Amino acid sequence: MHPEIDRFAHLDSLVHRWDPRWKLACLFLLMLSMGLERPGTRDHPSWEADLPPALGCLGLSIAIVLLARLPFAVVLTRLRGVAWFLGIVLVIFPLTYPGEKIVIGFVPVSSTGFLVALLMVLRAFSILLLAIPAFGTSRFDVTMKALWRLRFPAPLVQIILFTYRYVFVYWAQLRRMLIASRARGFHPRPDLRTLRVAGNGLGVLLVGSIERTQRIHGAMKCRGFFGTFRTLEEFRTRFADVALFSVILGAGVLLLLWRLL
Amino acid sequence: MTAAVSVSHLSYTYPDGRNAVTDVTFTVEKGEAVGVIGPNGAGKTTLFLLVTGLLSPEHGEITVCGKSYTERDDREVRRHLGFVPHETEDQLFSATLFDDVAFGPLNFGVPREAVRARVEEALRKVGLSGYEERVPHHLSSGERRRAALATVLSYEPDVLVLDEPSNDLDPRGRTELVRFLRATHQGRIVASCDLEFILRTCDRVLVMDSGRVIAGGTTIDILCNRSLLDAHGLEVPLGLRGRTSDQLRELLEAEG
Repeated sequence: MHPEIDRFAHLDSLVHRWDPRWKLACLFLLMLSMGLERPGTRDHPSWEADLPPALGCLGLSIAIVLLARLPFAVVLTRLRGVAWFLGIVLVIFPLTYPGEKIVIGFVPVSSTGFLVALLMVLRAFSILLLAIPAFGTSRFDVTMKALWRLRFPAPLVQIILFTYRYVFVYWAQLRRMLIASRARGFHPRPDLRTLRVAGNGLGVLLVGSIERTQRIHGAMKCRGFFGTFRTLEEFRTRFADVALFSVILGAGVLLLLWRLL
Repeated sequence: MTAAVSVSHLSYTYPDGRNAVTDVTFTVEKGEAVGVIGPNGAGKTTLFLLVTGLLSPEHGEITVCGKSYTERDDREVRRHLGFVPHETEDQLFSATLFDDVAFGPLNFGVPREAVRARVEEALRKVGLSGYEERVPHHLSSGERRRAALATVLSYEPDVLVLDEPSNDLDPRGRTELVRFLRATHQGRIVASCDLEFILRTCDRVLVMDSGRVIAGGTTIDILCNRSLLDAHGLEVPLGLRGRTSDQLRELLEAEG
């Protein structure tokens, strides 16, 4: 269990106890439905028709996060990077959107542009909020095995699991290389030499990773690997899994109908 | 009786033209422990890569429990060998220790209901019970070394092929490994520069240098041959210096 990636996996809640396959299927479908927009919204968005369902989606996502008993402050911290980006969208769209504009101070602003941006931001936040209970309420490796059980391609699952296993090994190696270079008097500066040293370091990591890949493949072959992904992880469907799936997805379908019709 | 491992006139040259192994011949009987010693670059690791079928020899033949490597499916041969490489980070490639230790048994067709028990038993043998959910990256180097051994113990191979197994172990871990290797019924081929470890775990020793087997004999006889060791970049451990073969035998018997 990784202390940062699997930080919330040990908590106890309805969402944590949910069979990961049903959880992933439900939350993925919900994310997909939230990504859809009413035809014509981009050109003629309406405060009355588009804003309440978008707020409803956000409310549903917040409800699921609360149901998972995830600490909301930490969840928001994880979304901080995206929030900056979405904040820029909220500024740029009203200023650049074509059509009728109102002047605030000296600045011409499009209220339609603001609404389009607001709807995008609400939709993005709703989807991103769902990603945290989807991936953070089971151990990462269990989530990946659940994806595989949902017919996600095995090579892709294995690549993600290898990345999860080795990204920290390479990160540690990079840090050791930085310490070693500093110990020998190297200080990064905005010059060509620093770029050359950084390039050499990345090259060493890349070549090392290719050799490591070959050694790992050898170790796998020695233990009988012949291209088939196997796991002992067993998933069992209970009535509660299907019930939770139906309730949450049902709410999602209602929201979708509200937005589209 | 079929030997556990039989290697006959084995030779291998790397693509850069370096002769890594030249005309090596030896056998390991079932349950026997054979040490392979030699200086760095002697060809010990390459020999192990050949024995485990990860490299294909230019010349020579390898049989493991009477079976040879074929291009079609090497699993039948490999299930008899438990290879633990020198670099343990490569042996522990799964997201959790449980998955790593279960990897071999699942691939070799051990019934699923038996795998869990095998994993627990293997982890118990190496003193890592309760570590099932740990990410291998967060283990100490000594724990990783023991975990790497558990990954092969779980499918119960006939022969353990261990490359520098005592590296990274603290004195207690090393003593426990010695105790385990002396108690196990499995055959062992152990490459190490740690001659005291070899003395305590192996019945017989092959001395390798420049890709060739220079000498072979009982561990005690080889370790008492100071001129042979000196000539090939090896050194008798300080605690064993000046002791005769009989004294070494008594020392080992006293250790049980």
